[in-house]
Amino acid sequence: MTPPADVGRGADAKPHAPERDEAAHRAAVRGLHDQAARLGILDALDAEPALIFAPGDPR
Amino acid sequence: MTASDPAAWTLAGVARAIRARRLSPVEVTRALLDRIERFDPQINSFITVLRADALKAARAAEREIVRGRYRGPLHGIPYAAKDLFLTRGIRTTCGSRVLADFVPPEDAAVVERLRDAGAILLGKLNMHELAYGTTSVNPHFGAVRNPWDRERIAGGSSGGSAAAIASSFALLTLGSDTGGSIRIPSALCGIPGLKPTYGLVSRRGAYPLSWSLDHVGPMTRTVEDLAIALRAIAGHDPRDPASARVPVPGYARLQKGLGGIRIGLPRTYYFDRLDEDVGRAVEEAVGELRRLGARILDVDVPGLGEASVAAFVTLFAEAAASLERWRLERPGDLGADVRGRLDVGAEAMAVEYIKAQRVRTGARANFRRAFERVDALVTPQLPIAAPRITETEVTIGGTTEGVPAALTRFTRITNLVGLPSLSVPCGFSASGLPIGLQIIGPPFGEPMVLRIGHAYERRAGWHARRPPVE
Repeated sequence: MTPPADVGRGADAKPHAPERDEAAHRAAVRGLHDQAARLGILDALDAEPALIFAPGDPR
Repeated sequence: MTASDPAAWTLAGVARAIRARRLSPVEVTRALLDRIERFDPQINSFITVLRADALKAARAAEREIVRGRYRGPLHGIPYAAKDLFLTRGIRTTCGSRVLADFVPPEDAAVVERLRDAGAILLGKLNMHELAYGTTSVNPHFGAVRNPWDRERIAGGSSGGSAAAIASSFALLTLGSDTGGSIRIPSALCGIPGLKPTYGLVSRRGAYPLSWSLDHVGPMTRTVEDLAIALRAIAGHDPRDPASARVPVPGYARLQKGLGGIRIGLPRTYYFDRLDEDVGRAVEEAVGELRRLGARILDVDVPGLGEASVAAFVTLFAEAAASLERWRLERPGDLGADVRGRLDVGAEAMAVEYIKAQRVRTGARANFRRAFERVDALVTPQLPIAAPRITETEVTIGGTTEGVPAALTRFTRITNLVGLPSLSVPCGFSASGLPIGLQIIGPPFGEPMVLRIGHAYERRAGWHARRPPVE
């Protein structure tokens, strides 16, 4: 169920976002990629596909 | 038990009194509403209080019970729901300006189930915006204050849910947990809170953050109360595609003790970089578990560091997808922290997300192997007690880390692998702030997790301490 797009658009709503801090954003994105690098390097022969909901998983 | 003493109430105790007609649902509801009206302005745990609706429902419950139609232990029990659970005809903000006037046409599944059980909705609770954060310092509705020290965070994202229980404003609250959002505020506010197994409790009508990490669960005054609440809200729901088809046990066989139970301590990762007070409280709790008859074993769960990263990558990528509309259409209406996280998540790469899911599969297998040796794992719930509202970083053992990273370090992995995780109070810091113990079970191991938590709680007695709300 999706709320209508104008929900919460009161008189004080801000339609235009203030400029974001690009330097902080780039640093945070680098942080994400640095973290993700810890997930390792895959080899195709080693890498069986992973499913979010694995068949037979008891959950 | 009298209507003038809500701070001494438990859900189980009030249920017994209502059933025996020593307390009426109207008395209980009115006492809690009066307490909310008087003291919540200092805590800010509620976004919406439903005084007239709650009293009407309480009178209806009373009439039914007097006529002999008692539905069970939640009949006439007042509860409150985090403001991300859809409530038909009642504004559901998700703590955000983007949903400030959203009035849903239907109820969340857990709200339906609690209504069918006869529970009474007192109101909707404050939270971290869109459940995407750990502090509940909400830019639109104000910060939830920790009842033990109002200059400190209640934790998040279910901060209002925890603060309301600690302040004795409700006998049960509902929370959601995507990276620790039930357990973090439970630990920081000194109450028990349960993140159930993925798929045990329907998420239908809980505003999504991250589909494969989101969980719904109860927060209460005692572990016994959690068991009662879980019984009511658990069970298959075809409207939640992740809902499991498993039988719902009674959960209430909590009195069996811990003789012969094997409890594992994953010393690597979960005991790294702890505040001294936390380390001491957790070691003392482990000693109590041993004295209760449990066998304590060190266990190795490999790959926890990678699993923690996989949880972080999964959350950032899935949240950027599920909340994309607000990031693109209403960025100026989002708080700076949530907007920043969504902007970063939008740059997560597909290859990173896919690798995170492989790590997730491996992590599940590693936990499965650990549970061949033990019945449950015990860890610190958090490495620290509640930070001040103004703090953005904490330093532990000479290492500085951001508050959200520290608060989710021991919580987010069991969101990734879907395991049941209970936070139970295990002491206080030197400055009087609550500390939590985490008990993790195998899939659908809630009966064991609750049994251990209950036995420990009875022995330790921390749950009887109340913050000075009055």
